[in-house]
Amino acid sequence: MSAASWQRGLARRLVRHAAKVLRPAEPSWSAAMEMELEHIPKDSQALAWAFGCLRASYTRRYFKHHAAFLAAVAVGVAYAFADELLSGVLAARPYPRWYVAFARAHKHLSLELWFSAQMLPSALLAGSFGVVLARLARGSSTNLPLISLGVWVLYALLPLPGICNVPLGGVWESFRLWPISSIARVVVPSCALVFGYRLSPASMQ
Amino acid sequence: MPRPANASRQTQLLLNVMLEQPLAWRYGYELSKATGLTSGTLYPLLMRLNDQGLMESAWQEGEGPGRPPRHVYRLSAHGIKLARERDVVLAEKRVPRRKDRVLT
Repeated sequence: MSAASWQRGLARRLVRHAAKVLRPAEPSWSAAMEMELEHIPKDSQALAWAFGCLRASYTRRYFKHHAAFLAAVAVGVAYAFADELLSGVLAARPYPRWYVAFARAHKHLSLELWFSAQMLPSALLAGSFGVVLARLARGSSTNLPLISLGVWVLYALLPLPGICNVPLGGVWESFRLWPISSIARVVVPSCALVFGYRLSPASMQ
Repeated sequence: MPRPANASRQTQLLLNVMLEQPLAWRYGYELSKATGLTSGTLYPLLMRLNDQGLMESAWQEGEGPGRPPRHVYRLSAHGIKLARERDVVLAEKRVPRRKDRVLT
């Protein structure tokens, strides 16, 4: 079998599969894809066309109404992991001298202050994820950053084995013992992500 | 502020190409070559424009014996109007060329 006929054969198989995927949603368009393939003169171009048809079919059938939602969920998950990583990096670093001196002078506030100091890099991170979301979802809805934040909060609250070893009760305990920093830990990155999304040029086009 | 519908570069490209011959029926492969868009981008755009009533589609008999029929496309009246409006907006946004600036 020559390379040319092999390419044409593969293209036909791919387009047949693409048409099968698309047929329940768009019967006329699935037939259009199949027929158009036979009018493409070069086998290599036909193969490229077939791959494109496959992508178009899956996108249309499964992601037509869900692309923005999936992007928001993906950004939420990515932010949760990045935030976890950032918190780990910050926790592993020695306390700065100015902080130690300040903490000695204000012992009742030291932990609250340290947690609050962590808000700035976390807020910058959240803001950048907001911008990424605006670019991915092209500013289609103002609810999207809220979905991302919901995923992030869910991640923080779910004690997943192997990923998170803080039990749910520990979260409430931290809110009880350090209310200011615990509230700031949720509110500051949330606001930063929403602002990043809203102020991104992608959401203003 | 939400992005307006059909504002992407690819959609604009497709509308401009279809606007060149607004009454002529065009094939998918022909549009792909004219716009440089792959079928993976072109078909979702065509489907969306068709859903929005900006484009018409029809079946045309294949040229020659044994050739299958082809799906053909052209802009609807609404599509032509939108494409012309967008073209005007783009023309206004375009930076004048150096020659034009010298003349004005």
